Amino acid sequence: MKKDKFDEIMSAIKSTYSLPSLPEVINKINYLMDDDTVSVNYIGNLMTKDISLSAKILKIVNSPYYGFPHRIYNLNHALVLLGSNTLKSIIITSSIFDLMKDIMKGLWEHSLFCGLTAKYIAKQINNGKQIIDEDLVFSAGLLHDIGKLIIAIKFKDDFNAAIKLAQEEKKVYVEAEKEVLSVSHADVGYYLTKEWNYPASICTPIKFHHEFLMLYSNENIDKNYNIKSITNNKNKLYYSKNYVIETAIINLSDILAKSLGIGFSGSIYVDEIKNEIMEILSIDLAFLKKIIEEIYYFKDELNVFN
Amino acid sequence: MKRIKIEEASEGNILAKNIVLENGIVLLSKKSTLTKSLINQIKKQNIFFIYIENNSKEYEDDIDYIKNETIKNNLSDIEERFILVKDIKLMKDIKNIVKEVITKGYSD
Repeated sequence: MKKDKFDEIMSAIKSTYSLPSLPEVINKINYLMDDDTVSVNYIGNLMTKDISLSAKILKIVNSPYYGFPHRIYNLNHALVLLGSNTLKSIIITSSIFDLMKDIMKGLWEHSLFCGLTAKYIAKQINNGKQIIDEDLVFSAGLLHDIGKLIIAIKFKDDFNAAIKLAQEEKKVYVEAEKEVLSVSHADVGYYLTKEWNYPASICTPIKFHHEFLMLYSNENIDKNYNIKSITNNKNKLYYSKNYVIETAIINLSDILAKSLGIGFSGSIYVDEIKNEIMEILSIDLAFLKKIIEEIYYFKDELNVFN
Repeated sequence: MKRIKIEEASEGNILAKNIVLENGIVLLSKKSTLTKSLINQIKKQNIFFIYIENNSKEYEDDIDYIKNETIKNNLSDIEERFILVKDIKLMKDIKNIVKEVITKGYSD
């Protein structure tokens, strides 16, 4: 890795002025959401100060994806229904959404689709039990490629060169990125979300979303650690081994989004779903078929978030 | 749905929106099929524009053509997208599921 570029990116992350800036009100809401002693009403009132944000959140909570039986007009009600992690991600991504659209066509759709897919997979795996936090994987899916945005801003030429290389030589984006850039979007995303005080349950899947096997071997995962054994072991609470299950879900969702060709994240080429991912999530082809049939219809809902 | 002048309306057009009079009464509800006498009644109420559904034959032919073209493009696009993983059994199976789902999506 060329040290100078890595340092440049790191200093870009550390100095907020070169990053997509979050409006003041959003910063404040973000901060307050981490504080358990602050009431929902207080956050709701603060949010109404940003009209476009309030409108967006109401539009999302009223979308068919959430499928609440009644229309929700009250922002506080929406806050409770969506949960703070989902809201936090929506707030952050919606504020950089325009930037994403300008800089890289399709990245927003890819990110959102990946978030929706991750949440849906978590829901199916949970099957009524609370093993995986569905809102956290939604957030991780939504933000997994946020590093690409920073790279696109700071190293526009290199970023475009990587995309061109991927297209010409038929490569997945990460492979092209390795050849052109000295820094990976996964690492950049990791440092950025850490800087934004996101929990490790979101930062870790972002860091390893292309290096699942590395995390898998780092954590010494064996074949006995999987969803099936966790579910069967009723007496023991689920403990996450460094979010390896969450990372597996993000990696899988990313590949499924590319498989269906929804959005664009640097290269059209689909990467392999590793057997270890299937094993740790205790899923088979029939499960994937059900997921693909269902998530395909999410594409109609992407415009709700615009 | 398209907006047309009442003079352009013809028998067999299907209303895409209710025709509501100034007093709030619905003269004709959407999905009604227009007849000569209905068109005359609408004219008598001083209504100048109506909304009808795009259901003409040419329009449907266009849609079918576009759909078929899209499916064709999609299927060759899918092959291209999976080119790096074409020898992996699981990915081959996934490719076939994706093809099936996308083709079905267009025929619905």
